Amino acid sequence: MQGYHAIRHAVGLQRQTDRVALRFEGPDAEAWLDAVCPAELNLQRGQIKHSVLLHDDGRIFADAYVARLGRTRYLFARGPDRETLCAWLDARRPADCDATAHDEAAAAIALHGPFAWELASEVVGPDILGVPYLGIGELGGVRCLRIGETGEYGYTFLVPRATLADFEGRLAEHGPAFDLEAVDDAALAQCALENGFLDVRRAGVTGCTPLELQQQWRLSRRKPWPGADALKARRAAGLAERSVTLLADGPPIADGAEVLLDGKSVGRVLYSGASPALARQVALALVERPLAHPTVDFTLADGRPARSVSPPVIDNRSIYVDPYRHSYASRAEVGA
Amino acid sequence: MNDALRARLAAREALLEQLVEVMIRDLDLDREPDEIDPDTPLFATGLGLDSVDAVELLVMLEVDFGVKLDGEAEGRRALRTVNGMVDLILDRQEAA
Repeated sequence: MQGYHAIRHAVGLQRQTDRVALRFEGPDAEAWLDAVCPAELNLQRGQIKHSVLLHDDGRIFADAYVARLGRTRYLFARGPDRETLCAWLDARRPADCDATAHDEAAAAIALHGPFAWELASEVVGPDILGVPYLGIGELGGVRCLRIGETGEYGYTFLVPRATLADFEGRLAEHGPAFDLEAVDDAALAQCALENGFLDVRRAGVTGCTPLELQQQWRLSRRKPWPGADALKARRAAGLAERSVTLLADGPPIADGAEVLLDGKSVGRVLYSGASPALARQVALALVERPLAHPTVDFTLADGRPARSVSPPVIDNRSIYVDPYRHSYASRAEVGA
Repeated sequence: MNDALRARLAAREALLEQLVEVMIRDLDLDREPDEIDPDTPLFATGLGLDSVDAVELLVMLEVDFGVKLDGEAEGRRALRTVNGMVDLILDRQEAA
C-alpha cells in the first residue's frame, strides 16, 4: 500500500485509470442517464449526483457519478470496462432518444487529502475553493470534480491531452511544498473502506444488491430503472442479511471468511483491509439481518473477536481543516 | 443469541426506528423509513443534508432525545451517519 499517510495527513496523487468517463451530448442526454440511473437526477448546472448502475436482477453493476456542466452531462463509472458499460447503456437507451455518448478524451488525475484543496488552488486557481462537494466546474480548461471517497478532501481533474504536460508541470512545481506522494489503488481502497464507501469492484460485492449493502440512498422510488422490480420484490420479501463494518486484531482477514456468533455461522466477510491508522483490520461483512447492528461481538472462523462498529471508523483530519483558516504550512494548528 | 444481546439489539432497533421517523418528520425527508439505512451518510452524499439541516438535527437531538452535544468535535463525529446518532444517544443513556 503506497500513499496512505499522504491521503490522511497531506496530499496524495492518483492517476485514475479505473473509471470510464463518458460525455453525453444532445437534448435527451439527461433523459438517457435518468433512465438507467436509480438515483433522482434533475441535475442543476455544476452538480454531481452519486448513483449506482444495476443489473436487471438488482445486483450492483457499477458505481456511477453523473454530472452536469453547462448543457453537457457526464457519466463517471467504476466497475465494468468501457466496452461492457457502453453495451449496457446502449441496450437501455430509451426509444427515440436524441443523445450521443462519447469518450471523454482526457487524463483523470485526482488529489486526495486534508490539504488537497490547497494544492488544487495552486494548480488550477483559487476558484476551486468555490466548488462544493459533489460539484463540477471548469477552471483553466480543466474540468474539476469534487468527488473524494476517502473522507478527506478529494478532487478529480479531467485534463485534455494537449495541456496534460503543463498540468503535470504545475503539480511537480507545487507538489513538494505539500509532500505530495503518489498513491496506489490499495491505499485508496483502504481509505474508502474506513469511511464506509462501497468498493463495487470487490468480488464479494458483485452478488449483492443495494438493499443488503445499505446503499438505498442511491435509489429512487419515483421512477423506473433497471433492477427496480427485482429490488421491490426483494424488499417485500424481507432482507435476510445486511452489511456491517467489523474491526478485528491480528493478521489479514480472508474474503469470504465466516462470521460467527456463539459458535454459529451468521455471515461472511465481503472484503477487508489493514488500517495503518488503527493498526487493526477493517472488514465489510454481511450478517443475518437481526444482528446487523454496531457493538455486536462476533468471532471469525479462526477464533478472533470481531466487533461491529458504525463507519467511519476513523476521525478524518479534513473535518477539522478549514480552507479559510488553515494551510499545510501551518498544519500543526489544526485541532483534532 | 443470548437474552442480553437480544434485548440490547431490540432496544437499538427501536431507537433507530424512532430516530428515523423523527428525522423524516423534522427534516421533511422524501423517504420511507425502510429506505433509510443505518449507515447512510447524513451530509452531502447519502441523505444530502446541509448546514440548515444540521441545526435541525441538533434541536431534534435535544428536544426528542434529551441529548446536547459537548462541543463541535463530538457533533462532527456523531452526525456523520444515522448509526452515529444512535451510538451517541445510547452512550448518553448509559452514562445517565
